[in-house]
Amino acid sequence: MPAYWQLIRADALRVREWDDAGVIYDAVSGNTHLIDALGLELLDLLRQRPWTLDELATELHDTLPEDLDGEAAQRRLRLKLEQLARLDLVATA
Amino acid sequence: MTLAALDERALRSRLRGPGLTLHLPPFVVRLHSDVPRVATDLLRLYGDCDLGRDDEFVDFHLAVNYDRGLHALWRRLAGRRQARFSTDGLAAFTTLPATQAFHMIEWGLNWAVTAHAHHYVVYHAAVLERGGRALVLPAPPGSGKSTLTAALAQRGWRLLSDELALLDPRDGRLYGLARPVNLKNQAIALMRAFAPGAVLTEPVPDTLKGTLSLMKAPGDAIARVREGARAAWIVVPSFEAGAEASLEPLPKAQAHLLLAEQAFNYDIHGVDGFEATADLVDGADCRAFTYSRLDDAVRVFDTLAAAS
Repeated sequence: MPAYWQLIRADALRVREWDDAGVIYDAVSGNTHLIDALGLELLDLLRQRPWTLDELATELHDTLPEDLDGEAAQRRLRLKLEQLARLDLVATA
Repeated sequence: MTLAALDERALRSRLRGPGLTLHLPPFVVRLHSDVPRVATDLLRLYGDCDLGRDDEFVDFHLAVNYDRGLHALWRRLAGRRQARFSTDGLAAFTTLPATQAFHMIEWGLNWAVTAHAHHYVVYHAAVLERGGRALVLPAPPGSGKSTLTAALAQRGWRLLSDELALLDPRDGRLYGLARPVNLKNQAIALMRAFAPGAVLTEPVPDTLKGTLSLMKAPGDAIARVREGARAAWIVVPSFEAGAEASLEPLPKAQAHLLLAEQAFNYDIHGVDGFEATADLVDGADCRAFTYSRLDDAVRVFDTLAAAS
């Protein structure tokens, strides 16, 4: 069964974005993080519902660089999700 | 009545006795000291500030007195007399040579504001104003922030603060105390040459930060100290020897993170501090500035103010 990625505590997160980056505030930890455009896209989607990596890759197909094939795109997304997980923002269910 | 109405002898007597109540809007401070030089420097730097009443409520009680006791006597005999800072009657920090007594008051007041004034979001940043718009200069130590601030304050920018930017989340305006600008080492001679009319204290050598001097805030800055201003520019300065002046765009997300890092009580304000900082960044043109010559820097900032 594929793993579903989800936000750990959606209600605690506040996001402000400008141009191609933003900041996210986690009211539980009190931390503020710098987030790039892809991170913002992922957080936006995960706020709606849990997603599998496959689903995210399909949904963000038009957002990712054209030269990233299916496997490379998934690798890029997984790295970004793992980065967000290290910030305690997302986790797999 | 301003502090300048007192002569130095009367001021020393007051500092040793009931204390000196000084209006430093938005705060009221009461000072005590038995170190004579404190009176000299107070008159030189705070002469234009309003005196308060002895029975008035004050925000901060600050004192710098000679250290006492046997160990202090030994140091005194050795010609190394020490002074101790205290607030609300409680000793704070270590003793330092009494030659640094006035600087201890400045540092102690900074500490008191950052530790207690939580109705503001307090950033480690300089603030100046031109045409009703504020220029915020957040920067870690060593970036040349204070030297740049002193230069701009001597060239038509109104000084709000050299060290502490007070953001009032209720009105989104920045305030400062129009206090003296900290200069150290080469910046002292540089500023004397750049602005011969500037009022500086006698340099104090051999401190942990090197040689220190303070530059008086210009009279207009003190007269208009209650006037806050909204941030129009957030500029992160960086001094680089020999560099041409260069003003580059700074991503707003980076500016936010830098301000958060440079804030003293961002965590205490929680989500409100995050939103207030984001609003501050949102309304400002954010830049990174590299410079080596003060004349170039003043020209760049004048152009920036005129263009936008």
